[in-house]
Amino acid sequence: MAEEELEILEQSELSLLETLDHVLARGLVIAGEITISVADVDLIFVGLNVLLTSTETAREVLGERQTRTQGLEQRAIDGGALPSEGSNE
Amino acid sequence: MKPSPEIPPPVEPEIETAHAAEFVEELRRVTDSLPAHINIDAQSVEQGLAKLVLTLIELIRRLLEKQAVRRMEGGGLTPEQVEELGLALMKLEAKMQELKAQFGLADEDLNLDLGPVGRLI
Amino acid sequence: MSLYAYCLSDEVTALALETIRGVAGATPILIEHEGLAAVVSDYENDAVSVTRENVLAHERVVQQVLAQTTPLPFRFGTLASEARLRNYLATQKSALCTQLARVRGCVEMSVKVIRGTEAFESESTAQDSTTREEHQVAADLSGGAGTIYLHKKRREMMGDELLKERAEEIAGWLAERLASTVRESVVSVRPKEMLIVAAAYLVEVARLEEYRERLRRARDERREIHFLTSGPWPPYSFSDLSS
Repeated sequence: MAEEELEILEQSELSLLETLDHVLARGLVIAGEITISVADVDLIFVGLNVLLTSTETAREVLGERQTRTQGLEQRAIDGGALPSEGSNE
Repeated sequence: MKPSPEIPPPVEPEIETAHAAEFVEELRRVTDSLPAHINIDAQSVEQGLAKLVLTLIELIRRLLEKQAVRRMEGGGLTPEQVEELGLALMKLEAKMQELKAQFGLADEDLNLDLGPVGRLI
Repeated sequence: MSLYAYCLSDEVTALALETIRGVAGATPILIEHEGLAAVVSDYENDAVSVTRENVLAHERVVQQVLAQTTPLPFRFGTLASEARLRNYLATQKSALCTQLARVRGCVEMSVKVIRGTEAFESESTAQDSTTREEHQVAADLSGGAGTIYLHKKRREMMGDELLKERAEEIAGWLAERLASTVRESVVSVRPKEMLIVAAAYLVEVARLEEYRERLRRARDERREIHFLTSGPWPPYSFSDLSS
């Protein structure tokens, strides 16, 4: 295939993928956060929330973070030290 | 922006990169892990369950490893304790690989979107 | 009969929508409730397949609204009955109005940074092997496989720290370069993956040229960074009601 054609195909796929990344992972959701709606699985979900000390801890373990800023002021959604030696983790 | 009487035509989003191939590969991988059929009210529960449980275990396992390394660095463990801890964690990692294989899941599959809990791995 | 929901706004009019075809070729209409309107169209099935056609139809409708006013877009595939939708508008009215005010007059611009493949390869091979040094350390401590394992993990964690610092540095630098042109931002840093930084910026339409210029300069400043920039998008990343 000519290089030009390849480029156009690639650009088109890239465009679709970028679009997918926006419309599939984000946006308003009516059903609320829980997409698994069977009762006993909900319980696990709640348990998950309680079991983890915080989502921030989870992220910190993986070296990830997500920050939201408003204007020039940073409100980091991270922090939370790992449980120390004496605790019940 | 106030609505105007003549509606301006929509602007197509532009996408610009000098590394299209790399990004295509990575974005493909990311979107592949998202469901192919969106049914907000009735996700497949069994599939969700296995991933959920394994994700949990994997997270705890990594937390434990991090904790163990910290304690080792802190000097508060005897050589025997370090050895025991290491062996236990090694076994745990091997077990995890086994479990993932059993369910036919790869590391990327454990990126479950749990709403506010977010991406765990 | 279900409705496919595209987006939501307090300023949209039905005018432009009449000429557009949405998902499954249906014409979008408005469902209104006390000043809020949801843009929807009729939809027959229980589920929406993620196909090129459907995704482009979804985006087409939301982009048409974006030309007129900044809406809050629904996630692709959102289906609801009219009753449920009206209930949603009624119960979430205050949160929705707050969110609409936050995105008013803005669009979302996206910047992604991918790790260069050569850098990735050298980093990841370092992870897998156990160094001779580690064997020596373990021997000195008269430890066995367990000790070696922990030392290997320690080295991996140190390597991870370096990756994290690098990704953070890029994210911080970018934020600084764009600073005043951005009203709000959501930045994800994932040092262990290929997409090490993914940023969504809320930019006022009036400042879009300035944003673009700053971004251009930033790219020129650091050509070794592999960027992907895109936009304008509807504010998908700024439609989280819980934040």
